[in-house]
Parts: sequence; C-alpha cells; structure tokens
Amino acid sequence: MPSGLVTIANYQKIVLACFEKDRLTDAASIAAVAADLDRQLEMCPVKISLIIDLSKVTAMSSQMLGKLVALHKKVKNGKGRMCLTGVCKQIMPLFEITKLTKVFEFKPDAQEVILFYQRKPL
Amino acid sequence: MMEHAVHAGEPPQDGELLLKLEAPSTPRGKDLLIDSVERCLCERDWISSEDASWLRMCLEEAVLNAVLHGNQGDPTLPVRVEMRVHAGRWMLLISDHGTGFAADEVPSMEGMDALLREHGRGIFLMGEWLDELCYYRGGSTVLLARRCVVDDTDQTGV
Repeated sequence: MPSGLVTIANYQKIVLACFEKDRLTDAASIAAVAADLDRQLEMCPVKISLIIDLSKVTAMSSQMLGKLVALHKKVKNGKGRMCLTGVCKQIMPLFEITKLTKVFEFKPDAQEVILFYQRKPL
Repeated sequence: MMEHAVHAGEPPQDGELLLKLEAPSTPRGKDLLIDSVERCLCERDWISSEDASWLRMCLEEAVLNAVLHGNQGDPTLPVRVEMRVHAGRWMLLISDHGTGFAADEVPSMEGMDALLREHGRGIFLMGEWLDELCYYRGGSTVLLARRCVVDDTDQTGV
C-alpha cells in the first residue's frame, strides 16, 4: 500500500518520484518513503533512470540521506542512473557537509532531466 | 569539524533550568520531547527562521540516538531532557539508559567507503550546526549547545 508520501510517475523506462512531505526527519515517514521506492524499483527494469524530486522537502535527517544512498547503490548496481532535482537551499548543506555531492547528481528541474534521459536512453 | 569528546563524568549544570522532561522510548515519546524542546526555544525567539530546520534535524538525530542506540528501543526505558540557558547559550542535555560508547566508535566520514555508508552521518551533521556537541556519563548523555539568537531589543534575560 503506497504511503502517499511519494508520487511516482513512469515515462517508459524513466521514473519520476516526487517527495510530497516537507519534513523527512521522522523515522516512520522515512521508512514509508523508502518502502515505496523499494517497491517501485522491484517493479522496474534493471536499467532504471530514476529522478527523485525533492522540491517540496525543506528538512531531512541523516536517516533519509542514508536511504537515498541505499537507493543510489541499488540503481547503480542495476546499471541504472539516478538524479536528485529541486534540492532547496535549506537541505543542500546536508549534502555538502556529508560530501554526498560527490555521489549524487543534482539538477534544478525534473522535467529537464526527463527530457535529457529520453534523448539519451540507457 | 569539531571533536565529539566523550567524558566519563557528569555534564555541566550551569545556568537557569528552563525545561526538564522525560518520556518513554516510543515514537510518541520521542515526538513529545522534540516538540517540547522546539517550543521552548522558538517561543523565546532563540532560533532564527533559517535555522528551524537545523534545530529539528539535530533534535531528531539526538533523541532518536537515545531511543534506538541508548535505550535499544525499550519502551519501558525513558529518555530525559533538560534544558538550561547560561552565558547567552542554550544547552540541552539528552540522557538515556544505555552503556554509552567510545569516541573512536563514531564512524569516520573520510573516504569513498564512508560516502556510501547508509548510517553514521547524524553526529557529523549535528556537529556542523551546533556550537558544542559532546558526551558525558560515558556517552549516555549528550550535550547540545548553541548561542541564543537575539534581536536588538534583547528579550532573553541572559
């Protein structure tokens, strides 16, 4: 049963997951979001192009960062690609401080990434 | 990046006591503690609006550590919080019933392996925003401290 905390849209082999909650700091929400994304990954082809849109998120905990890292590893293990979009100025420092800017790709706008992924399929 | 010292002794008890509260190691108990501390700081205007997310993140990290690592999620074990103000700083003590930890047990954030780890960033993140983050009673009490944000009219009384 989807949690309602993530809206997922499929564009052929491209998946756009929009986080709907502004604060991803409590363990229950984080577990629910992670479960939704894990379910989506299981349903998708191996080489997934995953876009996580964080434009509504204004607060995030280290636990959520850990879940994003786990997701990134799964996508990469399946020879897929992943991009974070809409990361606001309140949460960007979390990625910078933890040096996760070296791990994730960041883009301002999800629609642009969808177009790019459509032009350059895996 | 500050050092996160782990002291065997008791934490400082300086300043005026603003809040003393304990709650069980449950999701509801955790939220009660976090909401109470957040309210206590925000109603005094000691947290700027830009810092509200940082405060919430630090409280979530510290209380969750006490619940999950300290009290091992045992709902019969309480987590205690105590907040004081001293010399223009708010100081929050969060205590659990665990056995604590050693400073070298805190995972390093250096290297590619660390980057891809799914846990261990909480203390690192807290340390970036707080002015002081250190541990007492062998690690079963954490002290979080930061200067009070004050406007020109200085209503803190500190």
